[in-house]
Amino acid sequence: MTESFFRFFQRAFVFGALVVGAAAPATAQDEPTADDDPSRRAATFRAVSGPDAERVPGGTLTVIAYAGAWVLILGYFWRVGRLHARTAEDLAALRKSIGEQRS
Amino acid sequence: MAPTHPASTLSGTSRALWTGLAVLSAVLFPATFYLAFEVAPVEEQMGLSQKIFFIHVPSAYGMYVGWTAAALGGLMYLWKRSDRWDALSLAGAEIGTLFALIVLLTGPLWGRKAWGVYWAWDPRITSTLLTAMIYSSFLALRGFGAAGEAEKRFAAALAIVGFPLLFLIKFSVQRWSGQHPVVLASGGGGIHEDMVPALVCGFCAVTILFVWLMWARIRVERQRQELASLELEAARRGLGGES
Repeated sequence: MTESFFRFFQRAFVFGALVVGAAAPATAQDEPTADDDPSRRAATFRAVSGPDAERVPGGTLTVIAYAGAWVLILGYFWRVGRLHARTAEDLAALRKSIGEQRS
Repeated sequence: MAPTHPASTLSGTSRALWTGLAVLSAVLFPATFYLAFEVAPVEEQMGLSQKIFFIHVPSAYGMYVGWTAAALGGLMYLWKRSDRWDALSLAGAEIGTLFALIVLLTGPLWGRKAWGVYWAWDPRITSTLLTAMIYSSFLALRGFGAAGEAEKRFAAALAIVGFPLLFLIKFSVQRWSGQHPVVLASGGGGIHEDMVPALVCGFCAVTILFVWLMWARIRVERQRQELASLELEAARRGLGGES
C-alpha cells in the first residue's frame, strides 16, 4: 500500500516536473527595460516629432473609437426622436378623443 | 401631423436657446476633432491611439454628471413624489449610461494599444462596469414595465444606490492603484501643452451635448407622463387606451 502510494507520488512528481519544464520557455520573460517601468507607462504625454512606427495599429483603434462613439450618440438621437414622435402622436389622438367626447 | 422633434412645441427664447445649443454642439465636436488630430502632437508612447483620450475622458465626465443627476432626481422623487424629479432621474440615468457605453467602448481600444489586451480587471474599469450594470438595471426596470409608482420608487432607490460607486470609480486608482493611467489627477504626469486645447474643447462639447440631450429627454418624458395621465382620464370616461 505504502509502496504503491510512493510510486504514484514519484510518477506525479516526474509528470509535474515535465509539465513545468515544457512550459518554462513560454513563461520566460525578457530582461526588464526602462520602458517597462510602470511609473512611465502612459502616465505622461510627451510629443514626438517625425513618423512613429507602431506594432498595434493605433490609427485603426482610434477610428473605431470615434466612429463607435458617434454611432452611439446618433443612435440615442434617433431613439429620443422616435419616442417623441410616437408620444406626440398618441397624445394628439387621445386629446382629440377626449375633446370630442366633451363636445 | 405629429411634431418631429422635442423642440417643436417650444416657443420664443427657449426655442432660440435650443437651436443655439444644437449649433454650438455641432461646431464644438468637429473643433475637438480638428484640435485632437491637427493641433495636438502625436504622443511618444501611445502614438495615434492617444487621440482616444480626447473623447474618452470628456465622456467619463458626462457619465459622472448624468448618473449624479439620476441620483439627485431619485432622491428628490422619493422626497417630493413629483414627476418632474422622476423625469430628471430617468434622463440622467439614460444619458449617463450612454456616456458610460462610450467610455467602455473607447477604454478597451486604448487598452489594446497600452496593455496589449482589450480588457483588464483593474479596479477603476471593474467599478465602472459594475456601476453601469446598476444603472442599466434602472433602465431595464423602467423600460420593460409600466412606470407605476412602485417602479418609479424602486428605480429611484437604484439610482441612489449607484451614486456612491461614482466615488469608488474616481478614487479606486489612488486607493488600489491598478493599470488605469492617471494623467490629469494628482500624481499623474500631465499632458503636453498643445494637447490642452483639444481636451478643453472636448469637455465643452460634451457639456453642451449633455445639456441638450437632458433637455430633450426630460421634455419627452414629461410628455409621456402627460400621456399616462390622459390615458387614465380616458379610461375613466370609458374611451379605452389606444397606445
